[in-house]
Order: sequence, then structure tokens, then C-alpha cells
Amino acid sequence: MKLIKKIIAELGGDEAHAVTVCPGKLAYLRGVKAVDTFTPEKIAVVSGKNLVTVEGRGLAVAEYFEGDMTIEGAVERVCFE
Amino acid sequence: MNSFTRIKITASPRSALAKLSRAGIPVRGCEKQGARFAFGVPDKMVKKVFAIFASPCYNIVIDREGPFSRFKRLCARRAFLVAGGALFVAAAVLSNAFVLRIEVTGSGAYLKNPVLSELHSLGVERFTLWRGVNEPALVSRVLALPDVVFCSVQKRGSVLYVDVQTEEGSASPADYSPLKSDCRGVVESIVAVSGTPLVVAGQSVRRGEELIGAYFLSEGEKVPCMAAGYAVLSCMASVSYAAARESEENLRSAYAAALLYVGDERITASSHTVSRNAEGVVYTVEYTYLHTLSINFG
Repeated sequence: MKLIKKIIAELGGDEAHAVTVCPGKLAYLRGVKAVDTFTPEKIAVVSGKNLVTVEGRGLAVAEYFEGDMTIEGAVERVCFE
Repeated sequence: MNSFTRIKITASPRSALAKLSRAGIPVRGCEKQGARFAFGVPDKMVKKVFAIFASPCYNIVIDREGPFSRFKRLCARRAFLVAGGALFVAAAVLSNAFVLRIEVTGSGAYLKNPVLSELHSLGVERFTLWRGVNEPALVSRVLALPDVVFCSVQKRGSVLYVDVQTEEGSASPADYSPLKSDCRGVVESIVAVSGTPLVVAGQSVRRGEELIGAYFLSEGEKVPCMAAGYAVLSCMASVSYAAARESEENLRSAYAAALLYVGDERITASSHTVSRNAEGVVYTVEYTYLHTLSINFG
């Protein structure tokens, strides 16, 4: 995680609203404020000013606490709006 | 380690997660199961979750309790069983603090009584609290017993094991009989290493009288043990020596006869008388000697 943190910092990104994706396995989202959609094929959350949509198959929220969310399942696509 | 309880609620994941997030409740394993939303929360948060969804609009049920909660409920349901189990464990632990049995093992197992008496003298008895034993003292005392070549003490659970090994092929096992006088006399001295001395110095004893008893007294009761020690008796005896005529040589022979009877014992006083008969003279030598008797000693 330190490496990712360093990379995000060097790229000038916002770590508080970072999204880490392991394709086909999981997605890790930070700064989640609310859940917009929750189905096994699509989970959409509000993170900062963005609506982050994770699409795939058999999606489930493995953990959600203090804005940190881990989505498990066959993650196929992540969109930002 | 947190134990999680699985909850099912008839509500949209969106609103349910929003409420849980606002309340700062960590959730895991969120799944949509048809109209229901299933999720896991730490056991200690279950009441809080039910409070959040207390409104009749929500149909909330516990799907599966966490292992800790299940264990707690099991304990509550079977309180007597748990109490019994706890009592058993406590009794087992407590019994380890006591000596409930003393086992004398090894080739010297026949020395159980003297070993028990040594333990008793060191303050170790059955059904007493185990405070340890002065092992060097016990070992040295047991090693002083006849034929003992090795001794070790070990407490396992509530049993105290004393391993006693005796010399292989030793002639005979220890004598458990008391020390008895084999002649009349006066006690000069008495030493009882084990057992109970029954006479004191200066006391007259008869033949067959017990000098050292094969027991020790514990709270007024006789506890059998091996008698070990010795006694010195001052005994009187006389010997007659017949000779054809009275002479210095014959007198010396008469005293020599007395020495022959005494053997290794020491004569402390002697005197003689001479009487005449038809065949010559008879020397009668009267003497006092120190006679040493011992049992399981030396």
C-alpha cells in the first residue's frame, strides 16, 4: 500500500478518493460516501464528487467501513462520472 | 479477532448501507439476495443494528450468529453443564496442589514404610497441601537406608513418586522386626536411627525385651516403619574352668576361657573364685562385658 500511496502522490492524485482495481478479483475504493446501486452485476458508489461504477459478475461488498469499500467478484469495468 | 453475526433485512442496500455507514458500523460480506439484503456486522454491534432498523418498515432477522455469540448463548442455555465443567477443571487444578497419593517405586519399593516415615518427618503426608519437599534431605535419608543406591522424587499431578533403587543382588531385604535384647543386662547406650527407642540408658532389660520398636508415633498412633540402630548392654556372665591343681597357668587359662565366650565384646570387669573338689580345683570367673546389638545398621 505504501508503494501505491507513493505513486498516487507522485502523480498528484487524491489518495482519499483513490480506486485500486485487481481485474477479475476485486476493487478497493476510498472515500465512499453513499451507495447508489447495488446488484451482483453493478455497484455504483458516490466517492467525492464522482459516481464510481464497478461492473462485473457476482459482485459483493466484502467490507465497508469509514468510507473504505472492498468489492469482490469478477470486476470487469470501472467507470467514473 | 472479531466475530461477525450475519443479518438479513428487507430493505434496499442503498438505504441500509447508508444507515450503517452513518452509524459507523463496519459491515462485511454484503450481498443482495432477492428482496433482501444480507450483511455481516461485529457481534457487539448487533444490538445497535437492530436499534437502527427498529422501525416496523424493516423486516430484520439474524441469519447466522457469530461463533462467540453462539458460544455465549450455548453457555447461557447449559449453565449447569458449564458450571459442572468449570468445577471439574477447578477440582483437577486444585487437586494438583495436594498430595493425594504417595507411590514408592523401583527395586526398593519394599522400603515403602521407612520412606513414608522419612517423608512424614519432612512434613509430607497424604491429603496435605503440597509445599514441596527438601529433596536433598529426603534423598540423603533414603540413601542411608540399607542397600539403597539411588533415590529421586517427582510429583506428577496429585501423586508423589519416590523412586528407590537398591543394590542388585543384595543378600536380603531389610529387617522389619524390632531390636530385641538377647541377654539380661543394663542399657549403657541406645541409638535409634529409625524407629522408636523403648529403653533408656541405665535401664535393666530382660532377655527378649524390645529395645527399638519398628514404628514411629504420629499423633498418638503407631505407624509401622523399619527399626534401625544399635544398643550397648552391660551384661554379666561367668565361666567355670576345671584343673587338676591350682596354679597361675590354670588361672590364666580360666580367664582365657572367659575371653573365648565373650568373643569380640569388651570385658569391663572380672573376678574369680576357686573351689576344690575330689578331682582338683574349679576356677569360676565372673565378668561384666559390653554387648552391642544392632538392627539394619552398619
